[in-house]
Amino acid sequence: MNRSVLRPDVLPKGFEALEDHVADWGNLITRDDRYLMRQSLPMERLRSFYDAAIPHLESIFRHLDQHPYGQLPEQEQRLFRLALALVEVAQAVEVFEQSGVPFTAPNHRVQISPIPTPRTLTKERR
Amino acid sequence: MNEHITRAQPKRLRAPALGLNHPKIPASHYTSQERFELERERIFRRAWLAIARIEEVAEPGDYILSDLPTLSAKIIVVRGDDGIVRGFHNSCLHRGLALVREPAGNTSIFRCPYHAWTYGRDGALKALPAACEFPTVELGRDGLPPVHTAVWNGFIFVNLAKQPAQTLDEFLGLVGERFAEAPFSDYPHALQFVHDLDTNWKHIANAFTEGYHLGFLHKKTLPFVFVPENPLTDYHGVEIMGIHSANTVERNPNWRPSAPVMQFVAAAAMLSGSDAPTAPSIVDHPSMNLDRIPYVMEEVINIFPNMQLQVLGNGYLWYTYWPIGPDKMRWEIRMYLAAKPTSYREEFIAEHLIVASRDVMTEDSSMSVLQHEGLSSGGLEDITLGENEYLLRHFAQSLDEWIQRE
Repeated sequence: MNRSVLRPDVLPKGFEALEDHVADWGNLITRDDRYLMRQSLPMERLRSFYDAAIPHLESIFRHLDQHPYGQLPEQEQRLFRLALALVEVAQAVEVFEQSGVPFTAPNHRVQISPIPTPRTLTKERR
Repeated sequence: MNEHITRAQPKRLRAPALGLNHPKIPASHYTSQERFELERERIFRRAWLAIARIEEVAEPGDYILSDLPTLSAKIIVVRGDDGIVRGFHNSCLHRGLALVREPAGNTSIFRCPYHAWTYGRDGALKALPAACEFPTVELGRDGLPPVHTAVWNGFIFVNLAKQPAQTLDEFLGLVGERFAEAPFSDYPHALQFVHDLDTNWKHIANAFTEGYHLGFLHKKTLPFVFVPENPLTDYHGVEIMGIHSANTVERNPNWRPSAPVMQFVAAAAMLSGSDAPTAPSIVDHPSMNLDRIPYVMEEVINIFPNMQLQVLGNGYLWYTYWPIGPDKMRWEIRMYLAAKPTSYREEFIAEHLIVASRDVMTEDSSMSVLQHEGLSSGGLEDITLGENEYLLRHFAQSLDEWIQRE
């Protein structure tokens, strides 16, 4: 049995400092989920993730981009999900100094999606 | 500060110079059902409305189903075998069924699931079972209900009037001529943001035609816009072209991000402007930046009644405003970029651009919702537009002109 099944919080070697935050962010797949999580967590928790992640920002992408784009092993997928979470968290920490956008209702959502086109929707092309 | 940089001073254009002398707009224009219906029937049912890009229907048989919620209309846009892009109501000639269900696709025919009436890529009725039972229906002559459709610089417009008073080129006039060659097609990779908002659509439209709010509402989110010489972010290069307009927003070339994630993404951020490494960019096109200011954040193009293009350093945003009631609207934003990410680092940078843009839009949408709440209270007879809010006055005047026209 591989290590990640036993330890669903595990990240690639060298990124152990982020493992405390895998429970919050490691399983969130969509931007919508990450935005809602950002709005739901207190600033101390967001800042703690931010402070842990920033020293690794460059090394995260040096590590991930050793893999072909679109083909990450499980631990690396989890690390990339944390990196995408950092985008949301940085908005709270670097920009607003609060979890959500000021004067915005809680659990705010925006639908964001590719524009449906024949190219994106038609599986079989001539 | 780099003192050697010569900065173009804003010309401080003000409303009286444009003959826009009326600061008051009735509050009811933002709250009443009657006003909404006038806007729907006399503006949205008469004007040319942009709904798609030509790249979306690149090949014969490509179609999209476009939603125009203001008019409760779903329009099929399809490219025929003759290369012509046509628009049709999504309504079977027989008993009206909305026959296309998918948002996009490629097809040789459209077939109604109810009684198998079948239409070609040109909308013409090709076949129906037991045709003899329908002596008034003629194959080839009859078909899906057509919508007036025309293309300007890759943008597909429709007009839901029975007989539009103007062609698309006449309707666009000078704005169409000026930006006819701007290379929007260089940015084919699109993402759509949809905000369904409890507000009047004009509050959202008005948010993007004045720079006055930028230094307050967006102080933290758009820090690269502000320059000391232009504390209220006056526009440069304002040109009013009939009911349409354009203007240039400058940026501060001395701004540098200080926070780590912003620094990390700054190298390739969309908003980094016209000296980004991907230059030459669309915002450097000669049709942009009339005053030729040295550092451009964006060129803004307002196409009446519900379209705004924000042309940036390495892409553009296309805003569409759809009134749904006096107190409901849909704000669609399309973000067009030159390329998709090809690495995780690039995907992170793109994600930051998307999220940061979403948060700026959210600042604006939240203000519009609070405006609606405030006006619904009924205490104000009018709202007041400043002399620096001349484009809002111009928009209000253009709306009134169209509404007053029988």
